[in-house]
Amino acid sequence: MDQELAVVLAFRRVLERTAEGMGVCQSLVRELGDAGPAGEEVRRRVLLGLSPGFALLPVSNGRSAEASMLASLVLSSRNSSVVTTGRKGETLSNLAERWVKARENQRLEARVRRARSMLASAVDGAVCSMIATIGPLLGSLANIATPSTMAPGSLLYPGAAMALISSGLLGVYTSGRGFYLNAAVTGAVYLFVSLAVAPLAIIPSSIWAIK
Amino acid sequence: MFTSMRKLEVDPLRLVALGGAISFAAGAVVWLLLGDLMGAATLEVDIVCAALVFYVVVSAPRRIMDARRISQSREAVFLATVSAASAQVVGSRNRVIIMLRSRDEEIDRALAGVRKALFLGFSAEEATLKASSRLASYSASNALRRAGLPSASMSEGGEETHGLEISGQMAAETKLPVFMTAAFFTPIMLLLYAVFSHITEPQQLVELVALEVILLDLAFYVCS
Repeated sequence: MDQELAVVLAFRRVLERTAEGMGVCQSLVRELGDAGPAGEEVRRRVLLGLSPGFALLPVSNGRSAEASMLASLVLSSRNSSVVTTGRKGETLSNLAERWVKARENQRLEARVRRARSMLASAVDGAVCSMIATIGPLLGSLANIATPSTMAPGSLLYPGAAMALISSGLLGVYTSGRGFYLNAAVTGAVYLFVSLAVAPLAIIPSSIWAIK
Repeated sequence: MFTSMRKLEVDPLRLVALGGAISFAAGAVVWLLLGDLMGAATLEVDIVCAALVFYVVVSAPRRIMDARRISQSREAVFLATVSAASAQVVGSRNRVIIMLRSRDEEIDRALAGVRKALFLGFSAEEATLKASSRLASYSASNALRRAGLPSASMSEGGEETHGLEISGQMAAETKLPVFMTAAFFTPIMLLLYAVFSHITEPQQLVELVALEVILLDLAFYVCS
């Protein structure tokens, strides 16, 4: 099970126990055992005699907003009634569980989006490479009367820069800091295609003589 | 859009003027940068860039409020739960409001304002009504307005969060293909333009790369 979800479910059990009348520290020790490293740390701190405020710091300062929210709820119960907070907290714990599951789904969708962007980057690298390699030849064929003076490899570097910039930005859009993977895929495909297609771009001088 | 400007206390006319000035400056920069590179299409490219910059500037308040709404709607459930639980035990609405704390910066600021108003002698209704009007999320606003009352509803924030999550997913599904298309076709089109316009000068090629960066940056901000 996802650790974040395990912590949320453990806090739900803590709220249930407190609603039944059990003390906050006792329920934390009993229920947070299976909640991963953060839960274990909270348990250890409670057993060492620290107050719940200090004991819950690893969860309330943790990355999971939902677990932090439930930890804050448990802490807030000290100012009112632990039993009432435990009862009222059931709705919040249900919502927190739903949010964690929804985020897990979003994570899976983001992975699919990353794969799609990687594929688009690879195809972009291939197409840009082909245009940059064969482009000067195509440009000269477009106007046979006045052939272009474009050198065969003149577009290779600008083409590579354009392909890398676009795939890098696509990577930033879909995967944030993982953008370098998109750029690396584009660069590799660009290099491979330009090496493979390069022989086609070299025109024997006899063809120009025929023209 | 105007609601978000009002909540952020931004004057719409000033924002439009600022957007106009920035977009004019951006258009001038693009004009200087490109020179005569795009030939007859230079004016169109310039207008498109300026219009996109204007949209990015003017829509900034809405984006800020949208980002705030999600965290505030989640926090609303927490606020309502703590408030309802405390109200049953403490019995005094003012004391419950004074005890309330939030992890969301904006809500915490609003709660601080309410506490200050209560200490100055305002009634709880007056204090919460004034502070809640500035919050981006309607459920956070409701939770603050009903803070300290035992009848506070806890499901409202959940519903708003659910709605925001769905709209966020739909927005992502719409914007990703748009940006992917822009990122895919921009370098291809510019390379084809370079090929068929016989652009061989290194300076002009650098300008084409700069144009790509500008267009993709604008597409990125519009789609994000």
